[in-house]
Amino acid sequence: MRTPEILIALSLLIPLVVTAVIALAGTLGLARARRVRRAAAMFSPLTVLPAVLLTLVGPEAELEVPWLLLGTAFSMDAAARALTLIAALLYGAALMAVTWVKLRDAESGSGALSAFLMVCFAGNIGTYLAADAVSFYLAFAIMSFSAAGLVIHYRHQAARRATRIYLVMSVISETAILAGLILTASAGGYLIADAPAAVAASDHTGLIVVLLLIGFGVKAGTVPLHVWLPLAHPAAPPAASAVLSGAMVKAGLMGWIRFLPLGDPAIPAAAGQTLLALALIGAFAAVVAGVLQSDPKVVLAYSTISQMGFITALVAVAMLVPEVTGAATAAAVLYAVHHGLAKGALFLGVPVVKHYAGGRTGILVAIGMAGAALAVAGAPLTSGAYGKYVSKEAVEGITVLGLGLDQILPLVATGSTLLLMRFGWVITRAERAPRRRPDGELFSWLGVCAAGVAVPWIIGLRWIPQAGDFSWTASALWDATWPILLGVGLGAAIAFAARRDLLPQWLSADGQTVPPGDIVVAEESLLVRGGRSTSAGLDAAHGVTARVRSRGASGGHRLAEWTRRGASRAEAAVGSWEGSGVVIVALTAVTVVLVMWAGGLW
Amino acid sequence: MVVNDLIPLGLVLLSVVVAAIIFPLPQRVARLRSTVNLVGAVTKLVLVVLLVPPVVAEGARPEFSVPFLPTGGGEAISLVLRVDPLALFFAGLSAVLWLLTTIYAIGYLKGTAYQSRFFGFFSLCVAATVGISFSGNLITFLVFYELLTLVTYPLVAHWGDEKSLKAARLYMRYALGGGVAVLVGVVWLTMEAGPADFAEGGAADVADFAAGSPTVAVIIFALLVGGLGVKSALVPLHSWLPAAMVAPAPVSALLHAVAVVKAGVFGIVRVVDDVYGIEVAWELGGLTPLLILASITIIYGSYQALRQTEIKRRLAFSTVSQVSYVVLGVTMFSMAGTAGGVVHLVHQGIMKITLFFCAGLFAESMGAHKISDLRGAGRRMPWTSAAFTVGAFGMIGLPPTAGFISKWQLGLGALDSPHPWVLVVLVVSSLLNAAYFLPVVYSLWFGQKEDEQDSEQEYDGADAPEPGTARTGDDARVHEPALLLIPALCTAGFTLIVGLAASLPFSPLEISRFIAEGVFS
Repeated sequence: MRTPEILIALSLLIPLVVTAVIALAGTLGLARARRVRRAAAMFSPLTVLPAVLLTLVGPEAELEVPWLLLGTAFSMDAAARALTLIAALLYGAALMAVTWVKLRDAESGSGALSAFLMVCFAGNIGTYLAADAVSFYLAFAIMSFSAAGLVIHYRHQAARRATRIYLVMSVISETAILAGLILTASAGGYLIADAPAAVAASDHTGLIVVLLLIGFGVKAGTVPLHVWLPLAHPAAPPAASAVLSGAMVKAGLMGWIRFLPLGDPAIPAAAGQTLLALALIGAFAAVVAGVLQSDPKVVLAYSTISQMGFITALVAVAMLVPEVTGAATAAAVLYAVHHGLAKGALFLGVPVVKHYAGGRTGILVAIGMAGAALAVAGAPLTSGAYGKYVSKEAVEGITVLGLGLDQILPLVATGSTLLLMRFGWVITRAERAPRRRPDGELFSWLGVCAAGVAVPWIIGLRWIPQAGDFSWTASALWDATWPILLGVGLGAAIAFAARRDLLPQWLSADGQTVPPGDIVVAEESLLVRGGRSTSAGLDAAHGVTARVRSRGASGGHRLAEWTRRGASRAEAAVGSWEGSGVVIVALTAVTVVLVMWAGGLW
Repeated sequence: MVVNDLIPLGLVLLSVVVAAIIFPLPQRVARLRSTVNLVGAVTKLVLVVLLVPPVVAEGARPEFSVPFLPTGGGEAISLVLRVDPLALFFAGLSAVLWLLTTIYAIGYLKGTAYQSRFFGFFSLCVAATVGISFSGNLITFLVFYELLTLVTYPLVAHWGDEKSLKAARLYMRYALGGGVAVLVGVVWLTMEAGPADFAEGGAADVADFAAGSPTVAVIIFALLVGGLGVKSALVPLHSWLPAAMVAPAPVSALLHAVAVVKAGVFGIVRVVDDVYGIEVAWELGGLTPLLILASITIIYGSYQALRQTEIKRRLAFSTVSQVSYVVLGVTMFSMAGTAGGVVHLVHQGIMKITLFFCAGLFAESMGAHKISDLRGAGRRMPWTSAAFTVGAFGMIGLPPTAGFISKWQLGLGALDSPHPWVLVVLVVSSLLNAAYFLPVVYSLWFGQKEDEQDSEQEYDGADAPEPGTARTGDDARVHEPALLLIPALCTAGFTLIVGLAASLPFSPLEISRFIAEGVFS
């Protein structure tokens, strides 16, 4: 095997092996189990290293394992390379934040938390590297279900509710994807390289596209399938939220890129148009829902929904307009790279602000958080400006309802500005618990901030040739600036109005007007009520059939009783069951002997 | 290995001999009884494994045959035992699971009464199952099929209380009723078309007869399939199965995974593929109604499983649903579908037996019978819970378990077949399976006792102990007896291995694809 092959295998296996060590440590007895778990957890941030190395040395790595499942293959391409690196950085940082801290500062159960993070990591990069439908599905399922362990980590009521809703959404997602992938494979698209063409040529193109849009849309936070996001993010530990928002939601994007025949006229235009509409609704409605929240992590979750709306809009454009498919897809990947690091830094920064906001480190923390926030908003010189510029170039000339998409998308930055101002407002008022010594939590956050400054540019310029360069002209810089200024102005106006009590009462931003999870709250109560009345109705129906059956059976019972009496006499005659067993064996033996004799064997 | 024609006979008699040794043994000689049991089970497993390469790869068909019923003029109707790939497939499943279930049963019944009776009938039950798998024609099949009914009755009734006896009688009534239908069908078909040796692609005599008088052929087909449908628990003939759950856990495990229910489906596979032949059955129009019935059974079984609150009853209805995947596969009339159905014979067996082993463990160690009793069991019985989780994920069809392979293969088969709508059945069934298994898995690992729920508002996780730490009272680790645990872990491991290594030579999937090619040759 060559080095890149080995690296693919190691990238996927080492996290799983360390997880197995943590799980199996339970057999060792209490004290030793704790020591082994702690050691494995301390080692866990290093498990992402093979993946980092792989992205650096193996841009075209391939690995085939023909005996595994239905024959599996993994391969690297530009999109996989970019997103794998981001995932490795984020998961590495998250693991570091969870484990490289003093024991008394560590999350309770940090062994289990790092185990779930590692499994989730293997699944996550598996979705990027998979080269066939089954490996992809396997990786996707592993990622989805292990993430439930991240969400439920604190075991409190909110975490349980978030997990239940997350699991329901995941099951819907997995089922839709499974059906879509079986249809794809049946059409000859077992290998991902053949999949888009197979989907386009299939008899069921429309159905497959809808199934995959729904299935991956759950992960990508597409409205109205986004409901798990604002519940799961605040419930999960911040490090876990960072990977959920930074890396895991991107697996949905990857699913679309891998399997949909983007730009192929075989896709019904209605599908692309619907996706575009939902993407834009998500991009803007999430702002409204988000600024009304009072938990900083819920605000960030809505920001993720908004940003994923932006990315989804690029996918929809790639689907609708064949001429720009390549550019829009590349822009979506680059934007995902940028957003992964920036949003990861913000989530990882939540506990950092809590623990290190005072003194000299406080200045560093403020600079880092402000930088990450500006990047998400797309301020000039940040990775966000690059991502937005490339996206705007890609969608130039495409109109929605008479408005140019290149004019609509910058307004997402205005929304982001509002959301992040709100985030800044709530987090500066959050409680503090200063720590004296810097630890893994601070360093991992700093690392992600630093990566956010440089890595998206390197990836965009070196690894994704189709993304194109940033134009350092005044107009481009202005394009990046005005939406933010607009947002700042709007935000200031709202703040002013709020101070003067000019806002109506119902618009109070305490997370009551729009509860986190927005529409799921209504859906949930509807489901509970519907479920209760349905099951009552069904119970009644079953009662009726049981009565009918028992009446019909009473005649049969009399007959049965009669035979039963006869049978029990016969039973008694044969004697004990040991006796009857011997009888059966004896009879069988005699029969066998007779048969053999008759058959001329003797 | 020299393939001897006496091997199939030897394999059947092996279990009979074990039974003959065990029956007269007094209750107290537990060690000797266990030794005989295990030696028999291991011997059988080794022999079956050794048969795989010559039969599957080299095409050997060891056959033992003796005249059984004289006929008026021509040749007598014979009892035929023959090893073909499908037979070996089923025998392999029963050999592996017999060994594991024997170990489990030894642990489970330790210190209870009537063990010699139990293990004797247990061995006879296996003998009947091996006989069913090696049967070379319908008459032979019928003999062992009826024998199976008789020898499982004492197993279901083992505890001897009112409930067990009632369930056993219900089982007997259903099974004998179905048996009568099969008997009439077999005799009628034998009169019309001769003994009809099982043959790949169907028996030639039966094809001729079906061409001549299709109506009678359809009636006989319905009699055979209807009769076999009782044991395979096709709706509406399934009611005996949930009732039979009162049996000891190893019996339930064996009943659901390999012996009774599987014998029924295996019979349906034989009738469709090797007696009528899939082409003939298709032309007669017998497949589509059966496919629809299987679809209804799948959905209805899942729906009923969802309504159950007892662990074993939920598993029982899940079996009703899952076993019909096999029927679904072989009746959808496509090669991929047949392969999917046949492979599910094995896959469902190892997954469901895992779940039953675990249900028995939960009941024995924690006294948990209801699903709500399982809250937080993951901390108290981590190994059992892990095995149960693997089995449940298999049932849902998540990769990399065996269940995923079945579902994928069946899905491809459905799209290849004249009935692409079957994919919808599979998808709905997946959703329902997730709806009734995921909550159980959730409460195993993340569930909490009701009294904990009241105080949890203040509980912020800050003082949560490390997972796996022993706690006082209810959270303390519970002893998981090794004899019960090891079989469960083995089958859970198999569930993962046959899923992960599905493309290796001689994996269940590869063998079933080979069988399916034969069916469509």
